[in-house]
Amino acid sequence: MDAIDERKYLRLNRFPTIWCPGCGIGIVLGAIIRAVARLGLDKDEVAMVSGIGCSSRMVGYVDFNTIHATHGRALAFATGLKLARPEMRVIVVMGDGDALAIGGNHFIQAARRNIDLTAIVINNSIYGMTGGQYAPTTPRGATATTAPYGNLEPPFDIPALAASAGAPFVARSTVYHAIELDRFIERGLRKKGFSVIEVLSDCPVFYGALNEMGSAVDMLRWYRDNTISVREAGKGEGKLVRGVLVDRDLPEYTEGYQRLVESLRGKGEG
Amino acid sequence: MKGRYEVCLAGEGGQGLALAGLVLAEAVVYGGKNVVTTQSVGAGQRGGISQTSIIISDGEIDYPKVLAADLFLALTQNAFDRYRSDVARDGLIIVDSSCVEAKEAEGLDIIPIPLREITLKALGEATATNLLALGVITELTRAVSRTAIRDAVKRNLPPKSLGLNKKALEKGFEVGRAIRAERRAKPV
Amino acid sequence: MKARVSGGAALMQGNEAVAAGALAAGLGFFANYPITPANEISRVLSRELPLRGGVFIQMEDEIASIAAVIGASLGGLKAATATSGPGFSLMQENIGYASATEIPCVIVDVQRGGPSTGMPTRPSQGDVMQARWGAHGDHPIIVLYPSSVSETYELTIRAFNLSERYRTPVILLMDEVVAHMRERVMLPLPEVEVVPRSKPKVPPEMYFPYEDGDNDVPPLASFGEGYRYNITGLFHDRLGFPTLRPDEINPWLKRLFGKIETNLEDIVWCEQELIEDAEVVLVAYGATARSARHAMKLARDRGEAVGMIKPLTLWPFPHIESIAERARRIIVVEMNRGQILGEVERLVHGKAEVLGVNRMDGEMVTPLEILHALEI
Repeated sequence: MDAIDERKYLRLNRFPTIWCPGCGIGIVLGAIIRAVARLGLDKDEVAMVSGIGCSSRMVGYVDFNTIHATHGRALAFATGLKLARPEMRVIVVMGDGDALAIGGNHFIQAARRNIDLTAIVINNSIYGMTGGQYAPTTPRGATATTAPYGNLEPPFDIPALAASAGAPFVARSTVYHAIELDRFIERGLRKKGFSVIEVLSDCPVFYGALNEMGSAVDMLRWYRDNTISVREAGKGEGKLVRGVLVDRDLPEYTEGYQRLVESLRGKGEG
Repeated sequence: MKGRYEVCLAGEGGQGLALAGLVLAEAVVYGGKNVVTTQSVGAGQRGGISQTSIIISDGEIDYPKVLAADLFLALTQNAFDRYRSDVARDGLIIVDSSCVEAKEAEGLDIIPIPLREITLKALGEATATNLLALGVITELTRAVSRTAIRDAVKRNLPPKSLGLNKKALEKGFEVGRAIRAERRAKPV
Repeated sequence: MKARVSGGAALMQGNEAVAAGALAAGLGFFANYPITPANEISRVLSRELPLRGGVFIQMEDEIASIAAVIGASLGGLKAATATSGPGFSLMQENIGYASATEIPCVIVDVQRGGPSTGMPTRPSQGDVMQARWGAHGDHPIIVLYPSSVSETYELTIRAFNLSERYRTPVILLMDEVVAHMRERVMLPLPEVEVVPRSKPKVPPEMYFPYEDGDNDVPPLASFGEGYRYNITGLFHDRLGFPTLRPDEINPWLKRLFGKIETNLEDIVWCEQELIEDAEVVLVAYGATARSARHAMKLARDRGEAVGMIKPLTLWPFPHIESIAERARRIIVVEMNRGQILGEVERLVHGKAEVLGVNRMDGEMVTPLEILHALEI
């Protein structure tokens, strides 16, 4: 395969990014760009919509049609855009708190509706931008600035949530597994329907520091050692499973809507 | 306001008074007059007091609700008790005497008619009491023509129940005519 | 539209007139969440929009509804939503977003008694200040308020027009009386000019979605048409990227407010009646204006010099201070605790006596109550 020139898809004059040294979000940005490039998508036909948080700043750096929306609402903004422009590829980038706490209802409703959006949930298990508060993805017992005695709540299993809400494509990877991540995002973009890709990503400054996980490199190693491919699931007890966890064909919403409009054509203006 | 005629229909949610009001208002439009209709309902789709006002005028209608009703129809006791004070001094009150006990109040012109019973007897069921009442009102107010009301009924009632409702309406005309004749005969 | 036609005259409901007006204005996208007393609007549009190739979608809540509306507007469609007080409260953050990012959209708020769940089926004018200041931070907004079914039709079209012309959210504020009232209208409904969205004429590399300068309202490119740009709720520069630089923020703010404030003549619509010789002037809007007009006519019949002012554009509020130079007394009639009363007092600045006639119990102010206030 020809080498991909990622710079072609970036707004280089907006760099450097606001992300902290060692943050995993940049790896996800690279993976998205490579997936878009491999699919040969025209930049004009790609939209990226995000909410609020560290990961949501990604939209500023990519040379697509971009919306930095309000906290938790990226999927709802994207739903309107997709219905207005069904021909566009709409990528929605969200953090874990953004997608699952404040935006949790939009997340499950978009999955249920099965609208053709590619939702990338960058899960660093904490609210980074606001200073390390616990999130609905923080493991039980982990420390956060607002859980100084350890988190009492259990975390969401994002793929299980997406699958049970009706998403036809669900995958999980990590920023350590960058090549695998490229492929999952590419498959998600190819999928007609609501695809969810959860990306475990390191926040060395808050989650790592508060939980004594060492440097960014140590955190990446943690992802290497504590996750296992779905193909080998069962071999690694207690490890998080990576892979394409759901891939099924279900009726997609914008196509269903267009079929409805077609079927009404000629019925006149009531 | 000059030329202003106010109708207040009150009963319980689900009795179809909003629909009766809509039919009456539409008939007024056919007749070329100005009309405004508003409703006052509770939260539920059924039960609770439901009131519809229809303001008819030759000219502009500003205040859209009843100030002093020229005609008041009450299908339930609650509705009668709630709105009886909103009737004009020379206003006409029709109560469904199957359900409402209207004590003869001084200065009030009350016509008790067992609307529900008549409907039940004539049609074998009482769901079209609203249309029967509308027939009665048409005859007693003469604010609209029978033809205009028939037209409006045809446009607004679902085909499935149109036959039944038309019958109820015609029966209402008949009852209304009889009452008018009776009232003319009565010494004033 | 299911028009109830007969010889040019028809009976139409206020909420149906919103739907008819929106369609006449070129509505392409409507998202909403069910709420009383606004439901008839979505009932009509869910039937009519798919027939016209437009999009109707019922979202999971009001926040999602307004968010989807903004997304669709960026996709190039004229977009709207409709709600009532509780849903309107939920929408505020994104209304502020649309104001700051200058994305055209129309929000219909059919008010109910409030606060809280309030009285879902009863009228109120309690959202007047929320419509102006509901979103956080200083922001421009346009609020229109009809008092009859035909006005509702006309103002709905106007709401879309102003929204497109000034790249701003426009709120069509209504009360339950007008929304549920059925009134005689003449068909066909009047032809009203429809303003299309202004699109950039420059090549993409020369496009600034937030251009400063003489052109107060830069054209808005639709997504997917070759103009790749960024939209953010953060304070942004000419290109739409976040900035904290005062030298970029100040020109933007100047333009953001200036596009409304320098075009008041086009935006503000206010009707005056019999005020030339009026000693007492009634100020009222929406259904309450009908009570006021009724009272005014009764008072004139009694020989009293009463006139009235009806703002159809509620925000920006019309400059009515000149009437204070003639009138002795101004009476503001509202179904709230005096939300416009305060605005009138501010404008009149002690030059005339200003009184309020107010109700917030779910009943209209009656003409009699206004006449009573005239006698004080």
